[in-house]
Amino acid sequence: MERVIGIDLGTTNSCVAILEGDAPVVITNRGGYKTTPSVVAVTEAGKRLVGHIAKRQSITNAENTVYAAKRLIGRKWNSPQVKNAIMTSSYSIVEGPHTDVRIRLRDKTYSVPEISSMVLQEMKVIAEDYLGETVKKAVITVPAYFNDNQRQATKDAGTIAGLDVIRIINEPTAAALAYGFGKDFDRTVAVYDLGGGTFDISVLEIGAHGVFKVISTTGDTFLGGEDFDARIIDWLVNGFQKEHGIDLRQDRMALQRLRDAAEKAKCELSGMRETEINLPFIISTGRNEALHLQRVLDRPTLESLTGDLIERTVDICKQALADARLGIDEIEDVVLVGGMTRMPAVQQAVSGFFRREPNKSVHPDEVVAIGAGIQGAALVREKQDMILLDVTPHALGIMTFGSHFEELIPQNTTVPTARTKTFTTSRDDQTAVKILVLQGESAKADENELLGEFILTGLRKAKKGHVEIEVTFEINSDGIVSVQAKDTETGQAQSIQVTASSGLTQDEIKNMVTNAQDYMVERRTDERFEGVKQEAETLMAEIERLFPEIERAVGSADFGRDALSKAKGAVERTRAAIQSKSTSAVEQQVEQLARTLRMFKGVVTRG
Amino acid sequence: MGPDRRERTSSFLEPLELEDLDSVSAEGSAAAAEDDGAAAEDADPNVFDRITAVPSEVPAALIAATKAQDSDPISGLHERTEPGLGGPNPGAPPLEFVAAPSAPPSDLPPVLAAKAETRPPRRRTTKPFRSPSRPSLERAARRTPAPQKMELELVDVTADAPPSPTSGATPRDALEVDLPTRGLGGLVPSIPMPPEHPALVDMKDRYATGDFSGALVIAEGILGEDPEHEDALRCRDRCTETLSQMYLARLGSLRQIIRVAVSQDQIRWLSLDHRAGFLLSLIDGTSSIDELLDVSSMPRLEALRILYGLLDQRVIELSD
Repeated sequence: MERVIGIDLGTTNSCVAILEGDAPVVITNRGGYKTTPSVVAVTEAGKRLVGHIAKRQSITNAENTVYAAKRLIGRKWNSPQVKNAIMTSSYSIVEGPHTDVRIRLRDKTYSVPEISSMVLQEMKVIAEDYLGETVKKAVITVPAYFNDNQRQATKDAGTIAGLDVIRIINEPTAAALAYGFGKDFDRTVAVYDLGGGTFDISVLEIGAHGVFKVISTTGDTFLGGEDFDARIIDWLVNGFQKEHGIDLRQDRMALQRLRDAAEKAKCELSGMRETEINLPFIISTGRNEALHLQRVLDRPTLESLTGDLIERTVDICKQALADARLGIDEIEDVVLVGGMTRMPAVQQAVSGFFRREPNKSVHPDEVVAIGAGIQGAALVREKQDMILLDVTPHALGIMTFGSHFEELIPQNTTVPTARTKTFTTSRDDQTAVKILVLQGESAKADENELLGEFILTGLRKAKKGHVEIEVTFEINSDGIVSVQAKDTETGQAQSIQVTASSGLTQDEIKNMVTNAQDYMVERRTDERFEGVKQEAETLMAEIERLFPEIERAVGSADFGRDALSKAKGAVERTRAAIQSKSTSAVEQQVEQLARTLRMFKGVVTRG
Repeated sequence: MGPDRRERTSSFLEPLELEDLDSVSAEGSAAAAEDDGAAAEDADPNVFDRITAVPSEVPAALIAATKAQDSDPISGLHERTEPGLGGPNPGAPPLEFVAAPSAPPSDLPPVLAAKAETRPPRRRTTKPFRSPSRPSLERAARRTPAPQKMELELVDVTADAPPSPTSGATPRDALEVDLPTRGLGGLVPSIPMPPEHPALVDMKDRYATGDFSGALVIAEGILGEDPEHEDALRCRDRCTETLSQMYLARLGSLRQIIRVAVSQDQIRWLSLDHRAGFLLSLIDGTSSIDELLDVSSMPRLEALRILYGLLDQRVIELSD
């Protein structure tokens, strides 16, 4: 059975899991961490960095480091979210050729799916290193509020990364899947997801036999752990300024250290009452004196600094319940997702609001990836013991006179489905209508996402309201939306097939796939070269260390001098091979060096 | 296929109208386009200064300072007024200056001269360690030449005249400065300073005598005034490359793992500056030199210099 990995492609961190037998396993990266920052950077030398290494230089190389690309994926250039990102991001966001969004790093422009694909590629490599085999198939999670374009863009990112994305599932659904894994119950649960950059609260119904349905979902895409870090940074910076009159925000190196220290202190305070923040040599004064920052942060101080942020999440929870038309008492369990939910004050706020202790049976950082892994395994398993229904993430409809949105297929409708509604003309002798296909929940058409448009012409001339036009929406099992408008009397019809678009053409995706493959080949070659180079360097050092002893041991014997000369020649050739970056040449020399070293050791031992 | 439902619209629904829809759509697009333009103009992400190893002095002051430092009568490198002797050529300074076992003080770049010597960690000091001195490594390199790398410094500047800028490409690892051999009149006309400006002569002399740090400081000073100055650019690149190689030769394989060799309590009693403190803070015991260079986002040469200084002071240790 083919392996399917589950990837939680988060705004700030990503995680990969797989089902081994019946046990979900979260795969650790090379650094030993189970989550990998969703951060991509390009260094001055043009080297690509992904994950922790990219995050650690995100302030000192801010212009060339992309974080929270997920906020931009699948968005149109003129969307309010993109405008907001342009104002707040340190990296350069530019318009793409298809009114999509592109990101400029150093001298190259990347599409957002391309950036996300770099993170996905990293997750793929992590899984492949763990499994020791190539991984092709994946299930990727997205927020429940993602529209079709955003989902398609995420899928494209997977394709660019060399993955066959067999399913995109909602994050709260994945969390609920992991929570309900191995259990068979009917339950209404709230999934409280406070991650690094975003907050989401979803209400789900878990039906018997594994039917999961998102009833409502809402959140704040600019509220997360980073805001908590920022409060700690402010506290540190203000204290330092009071003491020394120096604004540490003006120095990138200081700011990078502050951010790392703030995050560390925040995490430590989830388990300890107080922690010391110690940053020696944080800055040098004009008189060349190095100053140190040393402060103790305790839990009550952290809670007072961040209390309003936690309160904001509670307000959003109220909204989610109102959207679901459920009372607090109807929520039977609360699942915590995201690293921030480890903070005791957050847990208290959640239990205070929902009037029950949140469920802690699943790991908040890993639960979404585990759910995706479970879903992935279920999809390729012959025995279908779990049904996860695909639903429309948003309502689908058309724009009517006055820029109103008329809903035809409600949100969370199980697909495949079809709905029909009849409309009439608004003017006398009107012979054409324009059908704008939209997706969203707003009553105002312009606040929803435009999926496509077409014109139905050839209507018979009649008084307004006398011509009836039947509009049919159909979504097939592949999620492709077909819209047909038909004059009921004449039978004149026009239709459109709407396929979600990430903003990339097929040719562009193809090129990006090739580039990503080339990058991987180069990366693997570099890794192989570095490995063999290190081996060669170790052998050369050992041989050179033995040279004096060998010279003494062989004295002036001809054969000894000859052996020494050959050994020196091998060392020189190895250096040349390393210089020329030829892996095969270095590999050849390694064999020679190993023989030489064995011989030298033998001579020394005998001597 | 799922349930197929047919619904009849309620009477209050507005009918469709082509023209109105179009106008609404067009207005919306125009407004959005305007907003985008304004947003793009307002966005200015670059609010920080760039970190650089280039001293902050203005080039003129820097050049003057350099000249003032070079009062060493032994070298006499900067006493020359005679035109046409810039760079390594038959009239260039004699080789013994390069090969002198104890480098004269004039070898030090002016801005770092006071901090050139490296010391073992010591207790509280009022003045911080200003990152490892560049010349100290260059001098050390002369004392104990390492295989391969040190030959870069010991090149006989009198032996081969360097190719002129018009004579074709020079190998990347060649030491010879790619500057004119006779006179400065043939230099690029874009230089705002007089062609025979002493700073240029000084730069080339320093390069020729193996004082790459000094040459680099002067080159950067010149580039501060004229960023396109070809000779200065070339000299800067060569010096940077050569010095980087020298530090790399001292540090060894970039895949070595860096660890902090002193306890957390002792760190604050070291004599470091904030750059060294920053690099030290990035060391997590699992990252290699290569990774640290990437993460630091510092100019590579500066990061290597600091790392070498920290290693020299035994603040850090390296392991395979």
